[in-house]
Amino acid sequence: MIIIIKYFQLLNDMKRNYNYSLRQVNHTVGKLLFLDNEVKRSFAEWLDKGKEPKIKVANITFQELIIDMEMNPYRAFLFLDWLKKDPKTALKALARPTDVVRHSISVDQLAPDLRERVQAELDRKIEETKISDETEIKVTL
Amino acid sequence: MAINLDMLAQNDPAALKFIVGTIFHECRHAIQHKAITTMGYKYGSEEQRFIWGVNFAGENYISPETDDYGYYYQAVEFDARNFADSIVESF
Repeated sequence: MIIIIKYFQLLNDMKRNYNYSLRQVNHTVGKLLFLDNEVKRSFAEWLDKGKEPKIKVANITFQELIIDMEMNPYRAFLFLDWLKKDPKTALKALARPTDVVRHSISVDQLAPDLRERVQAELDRKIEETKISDETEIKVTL
Repeated sequence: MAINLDMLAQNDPAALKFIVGTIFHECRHAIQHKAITTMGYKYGSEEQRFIWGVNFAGENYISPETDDYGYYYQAVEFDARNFADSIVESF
């Protein structure tokens, strides 16, 4: 059986239910495409069928991330993927406090000598990380 | 920056180390910010300032609420973490 998840399904769910910006959506979708196979299957069944994920990686369950760590499901799946690929660092990071820079800076606020080069890099990154509307995640169960 | 005095009052070396590390971490972010926004305050190499500028500008900063891996490895957090850890570890 194959589950196909379309970009618009993800966009709508992330925006409506988790208040993601388009930038957050595209960042997350870009990473969901390359999830570890076991994590991807669990993700697809959760999104497509509403099946509660039973996945456990490095002794950490999806439910623990949601309830104890207060992660949203998308963040939790990305974290499980990291746990699969590099458990030592992921667990270390989980134990550390996190801070968040709440205000991004506009290019105009940068020192003049940086503006042109940073703007060019931002433009390049936007092109590089562009997600096509036709993007879909295919998962074979 | 605010410090929880109850945590300080615990008189626990691990808690103290944690507080000091957090202060240095946040101070490093302040230096990063100043280095990329203030004319004449040319802290760090040109490449470092450029990388910080790209990370802070145009919604490139990744919050841990979106992606823990992306947050952990982005330039400004990687730098602030290493900066604070190197100081705290020398205690």
